[in-house]
Amino acid sequence: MMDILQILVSESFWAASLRIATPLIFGVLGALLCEKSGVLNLGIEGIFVAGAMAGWMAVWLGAGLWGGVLVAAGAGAFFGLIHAILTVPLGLSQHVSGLGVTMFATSVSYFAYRTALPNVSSPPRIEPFRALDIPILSDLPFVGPVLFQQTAMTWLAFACVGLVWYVMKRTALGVAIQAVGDNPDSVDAQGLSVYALRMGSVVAGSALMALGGAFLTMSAFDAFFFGMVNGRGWICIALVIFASWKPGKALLGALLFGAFDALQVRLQTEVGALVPGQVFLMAPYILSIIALVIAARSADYPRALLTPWFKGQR
Amino acid sequence: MSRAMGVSSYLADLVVAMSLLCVLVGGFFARYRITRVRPVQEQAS
Repeated sequence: MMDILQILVSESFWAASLRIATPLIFGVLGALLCEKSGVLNLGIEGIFVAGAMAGWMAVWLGAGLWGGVLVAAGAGAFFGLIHAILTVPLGLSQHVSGLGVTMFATSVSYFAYRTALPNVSSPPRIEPFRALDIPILSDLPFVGPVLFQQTAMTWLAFACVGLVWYVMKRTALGVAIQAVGDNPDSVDAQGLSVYALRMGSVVAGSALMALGGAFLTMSAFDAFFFGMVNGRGWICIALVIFASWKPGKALLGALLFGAFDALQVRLQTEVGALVPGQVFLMAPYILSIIALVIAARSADYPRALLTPWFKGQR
Repeated sequence: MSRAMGVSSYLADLVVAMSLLCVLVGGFFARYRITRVRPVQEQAS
């Protein structure tokens, strides 16, 4: 028990929690944006992989780090556009299309990697984002190492939370996106394009998801590995429900999962001899399911989620 | 299957994914029937 308390008050634990939570913040914001407009995007797992691969590959080919971030966002937007075309104007099954996009994006990424580097056993490394060293703030006790020695992408993730919250709550565009996810007929009656709003939201959301993948290859690690996304996309889908489609709660959910994950890694080393390691690996997911069950009861889901809309058809 | 055929698994996965998306889009187009509409003059004669 003392071991757990020692872990919970350590700087390295909270710094790691924030680091683990960062790709989830991008992913959950992207999924939130898509679902607020009424489109479920199960392509998230593949878009994570595509973002990770595209960003890393761009930097490896000579682009700057921020150039790599833009390329990753572009790759995510491309696969999001495929999903948007299939589900919005064509009105096809959002589940099947999303899983198809996941398979397509993952396989394209792996195929591109293998085509570019056919005979490489270990991937080439890039110079990733370095932890920011902010004068005075980085030297503060506890808060300094936890908050102010993170990379620029972690700060970008926090900025995106604020941006998505602002757009959703304070702008006409946000009201229109929420309305199109609740009652697309009312949006159409206002003379706005339901198709444009939904497709735009899916493309923008997918670009955000890809940034989560880019964080893995360009900030958390310095290379692209097979299986490095490791189900983070599916966690984001669950976290959106946990967050009840609210950006602030999405940040909280991502931090909670990040803390569980960071805790299980440390517990493995502390009491690994007594309990099998697989139990610790399961722990974040089990705790997430429990949190989801509790939170989902009061979830305020978009009314027209998963419902295709066709102009002139009521 | 890809191993039996001697195809790279990366390529095989890509083909599977594209097949799924093609079936999905094909299902959409299967809802419609393409018919030839005769011009009015042809119908009259």
